[in-house]
Amino acid sequence: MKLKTVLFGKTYQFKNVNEVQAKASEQKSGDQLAGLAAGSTEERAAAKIVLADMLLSDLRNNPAVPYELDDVTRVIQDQVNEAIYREIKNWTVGDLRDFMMLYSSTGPIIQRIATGLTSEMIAAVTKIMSNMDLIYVAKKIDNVATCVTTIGQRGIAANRALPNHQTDDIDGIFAELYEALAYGVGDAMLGLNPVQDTVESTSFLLHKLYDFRMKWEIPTQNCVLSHITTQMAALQKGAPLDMIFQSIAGTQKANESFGVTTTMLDDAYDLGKRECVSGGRNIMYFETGEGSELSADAHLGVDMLTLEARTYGYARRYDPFYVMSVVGFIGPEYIYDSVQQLRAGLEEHFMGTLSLFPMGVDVCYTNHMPASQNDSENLALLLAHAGMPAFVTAPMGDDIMLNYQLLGNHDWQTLLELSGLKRVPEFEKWLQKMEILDEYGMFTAKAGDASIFLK
Amino acid sequence: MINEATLKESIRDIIKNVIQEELSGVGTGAVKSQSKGSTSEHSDDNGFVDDVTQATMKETFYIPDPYDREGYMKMKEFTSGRLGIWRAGPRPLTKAYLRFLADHSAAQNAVWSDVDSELVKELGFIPLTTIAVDKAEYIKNPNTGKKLTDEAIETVKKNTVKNLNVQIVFADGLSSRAIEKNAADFLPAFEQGLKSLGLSFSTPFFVTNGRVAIGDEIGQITEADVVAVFCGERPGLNSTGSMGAYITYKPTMGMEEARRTVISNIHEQGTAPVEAGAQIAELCQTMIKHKMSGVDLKLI
Repeated sequence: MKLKTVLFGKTYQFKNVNEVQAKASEQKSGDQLAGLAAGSTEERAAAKIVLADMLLSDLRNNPAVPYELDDVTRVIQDQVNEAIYREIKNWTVGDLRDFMMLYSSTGPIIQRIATGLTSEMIAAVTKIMSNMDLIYVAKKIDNVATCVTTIGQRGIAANRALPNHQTDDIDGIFAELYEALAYGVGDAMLGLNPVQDTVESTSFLLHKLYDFRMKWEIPTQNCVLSHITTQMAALQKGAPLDMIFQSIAGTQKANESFGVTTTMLDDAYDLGKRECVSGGRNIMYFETGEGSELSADAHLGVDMLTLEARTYGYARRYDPFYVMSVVGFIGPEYIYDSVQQLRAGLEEHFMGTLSLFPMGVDVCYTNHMPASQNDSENLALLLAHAGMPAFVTAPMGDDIMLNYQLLGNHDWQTLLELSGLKRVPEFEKWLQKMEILDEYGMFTAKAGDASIFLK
Repeated sequence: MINEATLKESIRDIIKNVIQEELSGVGTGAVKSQSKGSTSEHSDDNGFVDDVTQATMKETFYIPDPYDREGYMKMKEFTSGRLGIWRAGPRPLTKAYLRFLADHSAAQNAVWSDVDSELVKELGFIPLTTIAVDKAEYIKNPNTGKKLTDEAIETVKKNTVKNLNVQIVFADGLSSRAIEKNAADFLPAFEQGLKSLGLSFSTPFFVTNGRVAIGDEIGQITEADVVAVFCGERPGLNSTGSMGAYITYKPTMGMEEARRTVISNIHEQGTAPVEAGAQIAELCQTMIKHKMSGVDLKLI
């Protein structure tokens, strides 16, 4: 394995694969904070050149965290399709990139190869791809999953309604839900982040959401995003869950900081398959974010992008309905500004897509980050172009509970119109029945009036 | 495809209606006008463009002809979300868009201000500082907000009360306004709650440029049973002054985050500070009884 190169007469020598990976990453404040980032743009370029020349077997044999020490590594390594891996193990990372660009490498062909990849390989190839490269390859691939309804088909984009409320006030939650639906938002899920993480409260909210879905016959799925242990207890007590949520990260230690273990997730998955009222094949939902490992002091000297890829590799064990990265939510110490946010959003969508489940990005920023709604709108247009299957929006982009800004409900219809995408077909039909959309999928005069749900 | 002309015409009609309603004063007062009887759409009598921040989100309503106006306004009472703000085509109206921009600018400012030192004195807090040299370093490198200066460590040692049940710590976190707006209401309720449960506590510390984990270092020094950190949460558009409570049984530096029990959104429009005070006092008692906090406590 070669760990050095010369660039314009200067030698660049790297200690190990992790250092090459970290220094080949695009500039992000989190890697700088961890002291892992390249010291100059030339060093970054040198690291990319060394990384591109590495064999896939080099990356397989040098996982970011040792197999013996970390169960995220074990999950990723153990789920590799060995037959496919044997076909490609002598490819360089550069070969993998070029292969994915070929006209003959269609979506299904790339999906097949992806079963032989580890997350470290996915992270590596991402680092030698431009923004348009990432969009180009991601757009080829359709990862389809079913909970109550199905997302991920070609030409379809789904969106989550986010009815968060500062006190979990049920009237406030429903006001936000009505508003979302009045703008044609909610086919990915009606997904609430609760404030109170108790079994009683979670059960109550799940019952309310389920009754609402049944009463109005809305073809979508519900989720209350409390801790996985809370949801499991609610499920065991008979609460109607469509899917089970958890935040996860790219090392065992970081997952432990979330109060999560693989055994716990396995148990939840088994329980969900038996008890989730959706009856879907894909009943897990994960949220992730670059910087969560570093924030928990559990990054173990690995760069954020590699850890994010590992998180997706770990998620793949549970065939999730979809996974969503909250790209600008974790803070400016990890993703500093709009330039880093845009790059990270495209990288994450690409890496999740190569991890073979529907991948969404919450296009967002916090108020201590140098970014604005304009930046989010730019990224949303690019992700729609890349075929991203799952978005999330709130009224005027304002999450009044988590205190950050994401895309707005208004942006959803706009984005679909601009990108030529459609909602989940059953949901579109339902909106037409509700006279929110017309036969062409455009807003009717009633759209935007949430009081139609006060009937 | 859809008839573009028809669509444009109906949008034009809608916008015309909105403008007419405002002019005639029939609207629900979407943007409060300070000038009574004035029909100018640009300015009031003093030559000012209307103050767009006058109306709360609950009062803001732009839908010209809703199915159930009364029901809508009632519904809006339950949330500070931007509801009932209508649209031009699929896009937000100009006034909703500009209000958003104004609120975003205020939220960004809340991060970069300091808590009024007079208030710190008034509340009798013992001031501490972290190793962050300034706000900028503190924002970019959160670790600097998790470590006390040597001088601050000495201050903590000097003020340590042995065998204490609850160590109270306030920190600016990401919103100095959160402390300024909530500490004075919250603290008496919390202390009263602790007293009635027979739990001991001492004078609170206040940490400038301090993150949640600063409580771990303080806890290790004072060896109190429970450390309760009250910290400014990152500001939102409607709540630039929201405080979070992070309560931990016997915290240690570098411990897992899952050991913290969190109660967020303490402010007037969220969990009222007075109410939170009593609730958190009971929580401290539960932690001391079970000798644990965070996820572990929930599994009981």
